[in-house]
Amino acid sequence: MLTLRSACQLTTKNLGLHKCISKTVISALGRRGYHSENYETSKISGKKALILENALEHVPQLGFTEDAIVQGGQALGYSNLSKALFPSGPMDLISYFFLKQRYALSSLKPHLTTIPETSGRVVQLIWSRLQGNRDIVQHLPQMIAICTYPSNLRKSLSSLAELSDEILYLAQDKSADFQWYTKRAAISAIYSASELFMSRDTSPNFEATYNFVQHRIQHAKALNDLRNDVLEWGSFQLNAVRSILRSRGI
Amino acid sequence: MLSRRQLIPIATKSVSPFLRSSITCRRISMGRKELSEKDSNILDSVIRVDQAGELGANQIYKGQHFILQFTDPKVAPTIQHMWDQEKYHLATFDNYVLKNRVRPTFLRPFWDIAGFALGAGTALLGTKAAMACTEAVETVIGGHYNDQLRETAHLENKAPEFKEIRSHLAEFRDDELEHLNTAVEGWNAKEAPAHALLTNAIQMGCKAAIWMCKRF
Repeated sequence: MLTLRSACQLTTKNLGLHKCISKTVISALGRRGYHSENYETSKISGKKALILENALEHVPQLGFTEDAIVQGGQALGYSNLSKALFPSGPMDLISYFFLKQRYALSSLKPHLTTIPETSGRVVQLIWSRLQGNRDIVQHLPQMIAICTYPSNLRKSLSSLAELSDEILYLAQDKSADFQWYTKRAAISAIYSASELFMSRDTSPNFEATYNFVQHRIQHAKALNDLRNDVLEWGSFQLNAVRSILRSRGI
Repeated sequence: MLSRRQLIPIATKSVSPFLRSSITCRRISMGRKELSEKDSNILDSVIRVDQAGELGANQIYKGQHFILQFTDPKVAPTIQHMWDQEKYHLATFDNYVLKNRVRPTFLRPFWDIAGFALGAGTALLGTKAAMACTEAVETVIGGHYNDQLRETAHLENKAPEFKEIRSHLAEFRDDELEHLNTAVEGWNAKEAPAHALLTNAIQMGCKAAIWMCKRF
């Protein structure tokens, strides 16, 4: 049971999400690329990735800290290189964690084909992504705090936009119009809120977080249905106006 | 009965760090060639601007048909035919947007309204004005497709998917030029009132729209 203070804090952070959403949409206008089935556009490669990969092994104990990166480097024979190689420090480690978790979602493809509804697939994808946080759940508040530093905000919002794009792509969402933007903004908001919720969730196997995700997705789906109804109403009105104009001899 | 959550695979922790690192890096860079950033950006903007263009064309024909089916029933089937072709074009580019994960234009709601208003507005001026609008739009779009074909010529033999995209660009360009001929030769577009003013204004608008959709 959340205390009143915790609930207020969660509410406050949720309110902050609305400001972030517009930035998420704007950042989505930034660097994008053509996704090819024949060409790989991966960013994971080289020695830096190996160091960060090893650093992730230490995150459950040390959190997203410089120490974790130093430990990761030492396992490969490096020492005291983290400052030069990773100027953003913990944020580089967090970005790598985000990237790795996002790529891991692809392994869900076979399972997703058994779920008929797009919204059901989205729930499973978000839940799967949240499962990736299980080992580090005690460090989630720290991770979220680092992501919201002004100097890190652009990077973290970009990661969030990429995650929502990945989720909707894997869920085989068919929107190619402006709903492309509104749906990605909605997924970003839902994932952020769910991650915040998870950082305070003490229920067994994060049951409450799963229910939270489901309710949020169902709510978003209801809003989308409302949008379609409004557009249909608008179309009727337009035809009515034309009929009136015709009856007046135009 | 297993709940759906339990069906989600949990990553095994038994794989050693070094082995997992090797697997991760090897799996992701399995000898595939990198598409250069420049080519990626070209294709991204090609698909985005073409999707937006076909949307605009759809809305223009929709607006024209909305008016002309009552004010000039003889021309309505021709408008409907051209509109149906544009619907196919739009569906094709919608598919490219989804398949290649291209970001669609942010300005779509604006083009929805502007396109319909342009089509309906010129139709209210009469059939010839509507056809002058079609002439102006298809002149710009036909040239635009030609530009894109030249811009992507070097990609022709790199992969089958690029050949497919370019063949669609060529096919759609021919459709647009056919619409242009229909408007001019079939329905006397050049006899529209203030033809030069109308077509020049619409062409400038189209070029501005293309410029914006390449970026936004």
